[in-house]
Amino acid sequence: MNNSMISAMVSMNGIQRKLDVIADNIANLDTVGYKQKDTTFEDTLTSVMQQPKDFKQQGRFSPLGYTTGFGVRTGDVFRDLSQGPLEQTNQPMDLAIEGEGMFAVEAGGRRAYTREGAFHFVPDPGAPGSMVLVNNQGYFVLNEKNQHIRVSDKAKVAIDPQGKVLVDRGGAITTAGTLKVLKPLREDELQQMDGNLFVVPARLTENQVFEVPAAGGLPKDTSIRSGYLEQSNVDYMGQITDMMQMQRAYQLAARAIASSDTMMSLANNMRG
Amino acid sequence: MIRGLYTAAAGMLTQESRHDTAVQNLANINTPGYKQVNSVARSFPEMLLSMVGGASDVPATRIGKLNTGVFAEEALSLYQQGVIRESSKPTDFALVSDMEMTDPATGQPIRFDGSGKYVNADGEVFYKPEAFFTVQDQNGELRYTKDGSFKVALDGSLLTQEGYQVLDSNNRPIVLTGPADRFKVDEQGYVLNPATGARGARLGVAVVGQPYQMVREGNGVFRIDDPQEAGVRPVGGTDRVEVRQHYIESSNVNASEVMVDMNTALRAYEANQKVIQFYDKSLEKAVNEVGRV
Repeated sequence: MNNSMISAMVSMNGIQRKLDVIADNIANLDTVGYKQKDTTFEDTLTSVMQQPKDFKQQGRFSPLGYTTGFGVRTGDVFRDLSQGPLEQTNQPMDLAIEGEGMFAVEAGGRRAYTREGAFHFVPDPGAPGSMVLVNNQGYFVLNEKNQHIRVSDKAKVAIDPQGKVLVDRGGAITTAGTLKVLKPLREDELQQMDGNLFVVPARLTENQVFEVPAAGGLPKDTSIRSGYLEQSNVDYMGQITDMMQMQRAYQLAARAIASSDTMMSLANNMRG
Repeated sequence: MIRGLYTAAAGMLTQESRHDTAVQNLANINTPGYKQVNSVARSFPEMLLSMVGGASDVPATRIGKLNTGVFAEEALSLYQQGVIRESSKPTDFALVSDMEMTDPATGQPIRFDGSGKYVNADGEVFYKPEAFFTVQDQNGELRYTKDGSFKVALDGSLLTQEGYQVLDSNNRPIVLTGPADRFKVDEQGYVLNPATGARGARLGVAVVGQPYQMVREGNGVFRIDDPQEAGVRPVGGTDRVEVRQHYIESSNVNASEVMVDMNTALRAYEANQKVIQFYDKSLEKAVNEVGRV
């Protein structure tokens, strides 16, 4: 009965973790560029109670030993990187990635990656007369050479579908590099930071986690849409049904605890 | 009298095991590839009771057979196919298997019962073979699993959630070269080349002739101690086994059945406890009232 109680308790912990993941997804239902998370369950290590040879009786199906499990736990949290719906904003520096890839930004000296393309130009205090492209947290957006995207503050700037930064200074159109967009190769290795950003863990390099583009430019089958933002890809209905299922599972585990408690009380009160 | 006291105590222990099993099933109601466990109880060996003593001219009379207890003998997995669910991950796999066998005596196809078993007229028992993914644990040992929710390690190797290496049909690790979304596997388990569509390595799927010989190890895997007896072989061309990418096999636990099991075990435990109390009352009488002068 203690076994039942332990296994119900372990399971409640596991289910709680899954509920946390669901809650995070639902909270980010309207976060631009958010990718929903999920986790799966796995039964915990099973103990085998040894049985002597005499237990091998006629009519027995399985090998010797009586196996008991100890509940369920969650596995790794993984992300669903599928495309979110695009919403038109008409802001030329609102960029959405169609296909796979992530923008690279410089977040406090560290390189981070994001799907959230709500960028804008701010005057560059270091170089008067120029402006620099930042995201909504003020982190610098990087180009393919890992440099900041800096243009004259009198120019008009547009981003083409290939991610090229087109600069119009009174008729003459020049390019100021290409946005750095990398396709994740082993997305499970990416670490989540606050502010919808991901970083490559210190023990790894960018090339291990992202695919190296053959000739610079965007990954294959990927394009940039200017004037659009990618909405969260959270499947609300799916999350709600998942949540209902998890709540029921949690309830069942709680019932199992109540049931084992009754059994313990029966054992305790055997002598009236 | 004392005999019955121990019988009831054995009953309590058995119901406890049954309760544990029911709770374990309840806990794994959402575990992919989980197979429901049924606890099987067996009575203690029977003994023959005879009357002794009494008048010398009355021959010894046999009273009858009696067994003095019960124990939880084995925990059997029910290998019925779970519901196949669609998933968004390219590294999710479901095994759909519905193996057929013909009865050698009659030549007719066997109709297995719900637990995957068939007994023919001669009393011969047949088991429904089941298909499993082959994986390798950290110690290099072969393990079998129905849970196809795999993940990709940094070096591209395909792993189970626990981190066990998924093997191909030659027991070599499956390693992805590109990103996971370019990993394509056809229905027979062959990994397809993303550019040409040519077949490469094949996911290791083993057919186990006697699935009851498998020992549950937890972490979603089973172990086979005697591969010969269990009848393990690689999947063949005529086997009705299908590998489905982008799908996952749900747990086959039947929630209402397990809930009933749990309540039954609890109440049977209670009944056994009551029997112990009744014995205690009888003993009390014997000690305090019968002996009183």
